[in-house]
Amino acid sequence: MKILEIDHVVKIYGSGENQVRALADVSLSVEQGEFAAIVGASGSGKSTLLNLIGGLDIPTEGSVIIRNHDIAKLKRKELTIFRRRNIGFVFQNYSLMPVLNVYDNVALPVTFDKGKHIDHAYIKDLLKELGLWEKRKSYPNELSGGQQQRVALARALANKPAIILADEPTGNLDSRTAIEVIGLLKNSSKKYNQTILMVTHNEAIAQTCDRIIRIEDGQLFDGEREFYAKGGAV
Amino acid sequence: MRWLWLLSAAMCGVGLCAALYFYRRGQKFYYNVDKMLDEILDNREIEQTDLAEGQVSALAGKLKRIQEKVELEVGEAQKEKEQVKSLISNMSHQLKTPLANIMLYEEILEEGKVSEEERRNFLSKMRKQSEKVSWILNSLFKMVKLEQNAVVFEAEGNLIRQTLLDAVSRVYEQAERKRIGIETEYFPDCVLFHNPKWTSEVFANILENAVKYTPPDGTITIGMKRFEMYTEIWIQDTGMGIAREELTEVFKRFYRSKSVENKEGSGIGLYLSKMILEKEKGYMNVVSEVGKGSRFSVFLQNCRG
Repeated sequence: MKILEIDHVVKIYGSGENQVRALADVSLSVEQGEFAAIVGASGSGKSTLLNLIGGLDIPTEGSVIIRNHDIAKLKRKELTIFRRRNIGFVFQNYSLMPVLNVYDNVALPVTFDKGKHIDHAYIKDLLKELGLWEKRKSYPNELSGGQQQRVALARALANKPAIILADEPTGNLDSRTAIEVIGLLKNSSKKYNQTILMVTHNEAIAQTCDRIIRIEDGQLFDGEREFYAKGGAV
Repeated sequence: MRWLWLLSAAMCGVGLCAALYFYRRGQKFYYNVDKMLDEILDNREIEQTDLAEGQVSALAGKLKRIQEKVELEVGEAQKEKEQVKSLISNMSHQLKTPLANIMLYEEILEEGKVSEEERRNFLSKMRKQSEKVSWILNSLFKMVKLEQNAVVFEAEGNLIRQTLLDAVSRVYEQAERKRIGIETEYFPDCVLFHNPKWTSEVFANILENAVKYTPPDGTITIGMKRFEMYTEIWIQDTGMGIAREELTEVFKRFYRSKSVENKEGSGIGLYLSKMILEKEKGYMNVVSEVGKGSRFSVFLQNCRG
């Protein structure tokens, strides 16, 4: 089932002579449970694409449809609720609350949705899965970069969102920590049947994904998904 | 005295009103939820918006997700059916050539107009073909079982060295024949979260590929690196390497690189390995340079308490 459909999206910033065409006629669809990487050089439009999907920005032309909702047509209030219930973000700079401990940081998005009780067992399971249970009472500034990013990942998963958007999640990490974060991202995507879209410029990291979408000068290049058997020579 | 009566009557009134109000609210809530459940049962779209504040809307969001999940599962069952169909045609395609060869050799031998030397030659060819058939069948069965979740294997903390040694011993002879040396770098034995039988399958797959795609007199190096949560076990060869565009594709089912079309293989091995590792909460990747060699890395979780 398609969870995300981007249909002939064009995004233009500025006007007149200062016009910048960040995305030129981009179409893309993502199936539920897929772990896809968007790879491209800086300035190729990958962050623009992620912002459009996350409802942080509105396309100039075309539509972005997530779970049958056309994001551009939602009202501000609706968009906020939509984001809260459907989209989990993981940022390059972790964006954790410095005054909350690990556990409370992870539980935070759940408490936003009024009338939702916190599923403590699920959060415990998440923290254990990400190797953070022993650190649950620590504060973000007591953790290493990799650990902080793992907390951010747990927070994104806490609300069981329909789709997780990760913008250069390993950008601030050294390569060995990056490998761990990606491994955990992959495992949790399988375990919780989570759809993940990750923007990165690191090819080696993108490889762990099920699918790589390349973006160059605002245009997409997608890889094959299925192959059919060919007998080797005998 | 009278005002006391009045007060208690008023309080009763307020209480009644409140009770009525809460009863009505509960009724309305029940009615809304009931309507949504009916919509699910009748496969209709849920009308209630999931984009407003409040409990009913939050529930609508959840129920819509359930609806989507059911749809997804139905779709997946359909897809699985298609896969089985294509798998069967793939299997027959792969088995056809070796089987035809075996039959041909058998016919020739039966006619008996061959010299002793030719006879031995045909017999050895026949054995090779039979081995190929059995190998294809084996890997297909493993793949199908893993895909359908028919095998549930227990992964737990086990020592890794023996697992790797089992795999190495499986390819040692082939490597010897091509004069390919297998060396290990720093490799301390340690407990990693894995299932020895299936994980040695993964290593054997990687090693078999390394032997197959490395020209004679090459080297295969095995090493290890410890991280906070994972341990990397890497296998480096001096083979033909993999083109950049193909680095993700090689892990996909039935994918075969254009450059190795005339080599033996089915496009199952790496896919199988990836699937096994996923079940062990591990994963793998590859770095490669065409003409210089490839380095496959397997990541397994360190055991935590």
